[in-house]
Amino acid sequence: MSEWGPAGKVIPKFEQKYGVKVQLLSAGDAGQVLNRAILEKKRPKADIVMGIDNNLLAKALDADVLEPYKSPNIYLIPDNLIFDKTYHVTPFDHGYFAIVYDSLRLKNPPRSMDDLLRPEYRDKIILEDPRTSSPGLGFLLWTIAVYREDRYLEFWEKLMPNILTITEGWDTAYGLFTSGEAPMVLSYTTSPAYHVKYENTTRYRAAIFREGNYRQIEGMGILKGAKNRAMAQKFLDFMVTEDFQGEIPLTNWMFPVNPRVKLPDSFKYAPEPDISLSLDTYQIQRNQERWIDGWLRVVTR
Amino acid sequence: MNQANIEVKHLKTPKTGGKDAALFLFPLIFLSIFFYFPLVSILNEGLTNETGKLTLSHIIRVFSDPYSLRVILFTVEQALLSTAASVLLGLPGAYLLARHDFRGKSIIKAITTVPFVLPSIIVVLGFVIFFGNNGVLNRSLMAAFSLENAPLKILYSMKAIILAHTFYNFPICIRLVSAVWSRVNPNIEKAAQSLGAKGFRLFFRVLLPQIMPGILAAAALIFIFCFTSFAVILVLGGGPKYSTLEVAIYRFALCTYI
Repeated sequence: MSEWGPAGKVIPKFEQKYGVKVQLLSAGDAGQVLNRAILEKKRPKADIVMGIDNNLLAKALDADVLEPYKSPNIYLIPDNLIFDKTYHVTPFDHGYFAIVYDSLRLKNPPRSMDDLLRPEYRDKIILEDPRTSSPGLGFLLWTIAVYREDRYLEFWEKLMPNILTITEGWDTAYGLFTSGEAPMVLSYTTSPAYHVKYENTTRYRAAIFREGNYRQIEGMGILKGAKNRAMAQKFLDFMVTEDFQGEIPLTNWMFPVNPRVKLPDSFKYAPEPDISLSLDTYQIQRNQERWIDGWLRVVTR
Repeated sequence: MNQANIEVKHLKTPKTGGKDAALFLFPLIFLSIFFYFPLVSILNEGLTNETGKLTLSHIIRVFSDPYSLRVILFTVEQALLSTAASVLLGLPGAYLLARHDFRGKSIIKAITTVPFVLPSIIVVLGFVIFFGNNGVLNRSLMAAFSLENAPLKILYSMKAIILAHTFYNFPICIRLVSAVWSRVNPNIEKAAQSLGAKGFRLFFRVLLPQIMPGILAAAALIFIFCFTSFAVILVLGGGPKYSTLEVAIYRFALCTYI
């Protein structure tokens, strides 16, 4: 994960503290990282795997690639963020998916999932493919959390005219959005903070939905057969402290899991919804393929 | 006559020494390792089951899955349409280059090589900048007629794919067909004209058969390019609805192996 946001700041701190060298291996996005850990199960190259979120947890547990570890520092994390009570995965950041909109070009932003169906939004939304992108999957699960299994496809059918395009990954979608191709994109509630910090503009906003926004909690775990298990545990202990957590907001653009961290000013524009939605990880694991097949039938119609 | 043939044959096949065999072996080994071996192993995966026995079940599954079928049909459909549009647009250009001399001809000829060297992602970006909802074309129209929304919806659709492929590939048609066309003897047309052929009849009965090899070569090449097109489909296509085989395979590999 050589390009992982906080790495440049937090890794040297850890290396200095314990006199070790941390090597980062990149394997693409979260889903790809887990796939690689599963492929390398018998002889893992890494000690720790990063980026397993609440949607991928069941897959990771079923694949049996992780060793449980309950850090003595776990008390620093609020209970509702500890998404794996078996402690195979320790959370390091969290965030909420949101429709991010350009307030200069969209005077009447959506306030609920239902609002997205308004006829005035024709061709105005850019989404990501749930098969290749984790925000894409997050949005699909979000629609299921709101409309349940029996009505989500009906929602997607009505949403189709308002979707400009569905891209493979978040980068393309967000790039098209900032170049003005459409005034709405699926991203995170923290995205506007980035524009505040680096472009000094509040023109991009995140919409908080009446039904709630879907939550993503990302964690890391120690791999079975890790060569440096003791040091890996130390890393997890360190990870939840303020030293590490304080770097999360401005480098990974997510919320830290440690509430003692003071959020930077730009995060005033990263709203936290009152209602946070998520689905049970085992329910996701069991049904994901079927849900995606149904989705595919609707969007290719 | 026979005598001559035998002699020619003899000339063409000199005794093959060990040196030549070694020269031949080198590219063969290279190709086997870096091309045929990976190719065979991926084909092997498609044709065998978990226990290593030969099976057609994977292939049957692909062809009985409505989504896969849709992807295959769409791939062929967009490639055919793109090829037809590229050839039709390229023919007038080929005619100009083959039959007329004008200033700047060599520059135009040079420009026709651009698609061979231009990365397709650049074409895609160019399309977004020019034809996009916030692109040059739409912004000028919005300014000129004081409109609220972009009037031309071109990208993220089938037309965007055809348009980009055509833009990318019609110079190939110009180049290949004009090369054949310039070797066609104009006196044959004049002879046909003197016998009363004109217009469509002259074109279809006299000229077309002579430039056909060039058209077919160009069409075959353009069809292959469009059939395996990637970046254009990925960004300009507008999502899963307009997926080609290449993109579907990439997506699958991304989720499974990488």
